Order: sequence, then structure tokens, then C-alpha cells
Amino acid sequence: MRSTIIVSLEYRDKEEVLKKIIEFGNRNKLKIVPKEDVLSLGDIGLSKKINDNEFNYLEFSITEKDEFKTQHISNSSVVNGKRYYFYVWIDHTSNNQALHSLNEFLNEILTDNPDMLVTDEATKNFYSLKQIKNKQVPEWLLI
Amino acid sequence: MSEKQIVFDGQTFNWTNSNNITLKWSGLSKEAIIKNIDNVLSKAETKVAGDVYEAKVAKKIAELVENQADEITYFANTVENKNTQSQNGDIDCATKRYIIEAKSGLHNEKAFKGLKEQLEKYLPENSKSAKKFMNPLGKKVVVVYEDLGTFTLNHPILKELEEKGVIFIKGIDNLKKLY
Repeated sequence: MRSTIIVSLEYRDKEEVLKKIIEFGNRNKLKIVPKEDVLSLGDIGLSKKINDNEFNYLEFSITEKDEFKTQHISNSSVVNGKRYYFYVWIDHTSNNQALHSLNEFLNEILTDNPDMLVTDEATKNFYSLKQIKNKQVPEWLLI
Repeated sequence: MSEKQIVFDGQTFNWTNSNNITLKWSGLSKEAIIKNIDNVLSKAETKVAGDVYEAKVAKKIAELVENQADEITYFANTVENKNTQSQNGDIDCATKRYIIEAKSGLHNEKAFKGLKEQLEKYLPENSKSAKKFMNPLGKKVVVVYEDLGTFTLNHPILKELEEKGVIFIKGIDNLKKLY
């Protein structure tokens, strides 16, 4: 399982994001996995069996409001002089179908919140919606 | 736990854990596993960094087990819960002796917590308590990582895992310490 992280300068309502995830899952015919059945520590998951060996699986963990800026300093990064905090941590499979779903979701959430950035588990490179649209990102973010 | 409880039908393994969850995962020959590893490495620029790191780890392991009483058995395997037809977990790399988790990024609290949750289902001591337990042969658990950022292995979560038998290896080259 791989991790992709959406980082943000400011907090956004968790319930709104959860609603968006459910709506995204339903629209894309992905099964909604409740918190008690997710694989890791997430709030909700989306899943679809592709074949005998592969799943399209995305698990979302959204930072609580009271933890957003008080979470451990390691759960944040300084980008262009501003501190961005982990907001949505997404654990996911990395087959093409899962990456496509992930990217569709990232596009939607970044369109609503263009100030947010995306990074992977190495948290070294951060990408904006503008960079994604201009294809100035690694290929996996364009699948 | 014993190998006898694992059923292999020529393509897939089936095994039921103590919580009556039947798990299914595919079995590939060593040659097919190495082909899959090379396939990821040859398309590295299109892959997620974590997948490339996982393939590099598996490639190193495949080299190290040569002439050892060990063999690479899994690479990037999905383990399915047959009861619910959902994913139970995945295995980055395994040999007859080890389950190896490859972490290209392991330098924040969130990643540590996720790692702990993930390893719970591999640790032999959890064979009865962990609902998603998926280490039927009680293999040793290894975490290979590139760096811990500002942390050390004295971090409470990593220390706890180490005390439970998890072997932490910094850097792919140091995997040789396993043999």
C-alpha cells in the first residue's frame, strides 16, 4: 500500500470532505468501507475488486480540527516558506485503476481548494493543481 | 500454525486464521516474481516512488537469497479476505524466512502509527488476537527504510515494535545483515 498526502495551510470541515468521499465513491461505483472495516487507521475507505490479485482501494484519514495545527511537527512541511499541515492522508493500492481513482479525487478536492498541495510518502516534492493541470508532475499523478 | 493448514491449488494459497477469516493470495514461481520486479524497475519513471523502492528491496533480496537456505516467495502480493471478498492486506516482499515491509518514507508520526497498525497483522504474537492476522508461518518481520528524518529507533512506536521482534534495517544495502 502506498501513501499520498493532501496538505493544507488552513483547516477545512471534515464532514464536508467525508461527504465528498462518499459521493465520489458512489459516483464511481466504489464500495464504501466503513471506519470499522478499513485496513489501517482511516476514517473511511473506497474499494473495488479488479481481479483475483488486485483491488482498487483508497483509505482516507482526515485530521481532526483540534489536531490540525497542534499535530506533531513532523506531520507538516514548509513549502515556499509556508507551513503546510497534513490534512488528508490517503493509503492506496497503486495499480493503474487505483491511481486513476486517486487522481480523479485529487483533482476534485484541489479544484474546490486550490491552495492545497499533494505529496507522496517521501514528503519531498509537493504539487499544486496548476502543476497537475500543466503536467509538471510525475507520471503517476496523471494516470 | 503449520504449513499443513495452508492449501495451495496450483495458483493460489488459502488459509483460515484463528478468527475464521479465510485468506487467499497468489503463488508465483521465483522466475515470475523476478520478472515482475524487473518490470517495475524498467518503468520506474512512471511508478509511484514507494513501488520503485519496494522493487529495489525485492531485487536485493532476490540476489541475497542466492546460495542461502532461503528463497524469495512474494513480491507486491495482495492478500484477500475470501469471506468478504475485500482486501485484507498486502505483502511488499517475502522470503521463506521473512516478511519485509519497504518504506521509502518513514519520518513522521502519522507514518509510524500506520506502520504499527499494519505490522499488528504480521506479528506472530497476534496470531489469535488480530482479526486480519496474515502470517501463518510465523515469519520474522523486517522493516527496511531509507531514513527516519529527525527521529531515531528510540521513538516509542518503533521501540515497541523492535521489542516485539521487528527487525529494522536502514538502507537497502544493509539487507545483507539478514544473511
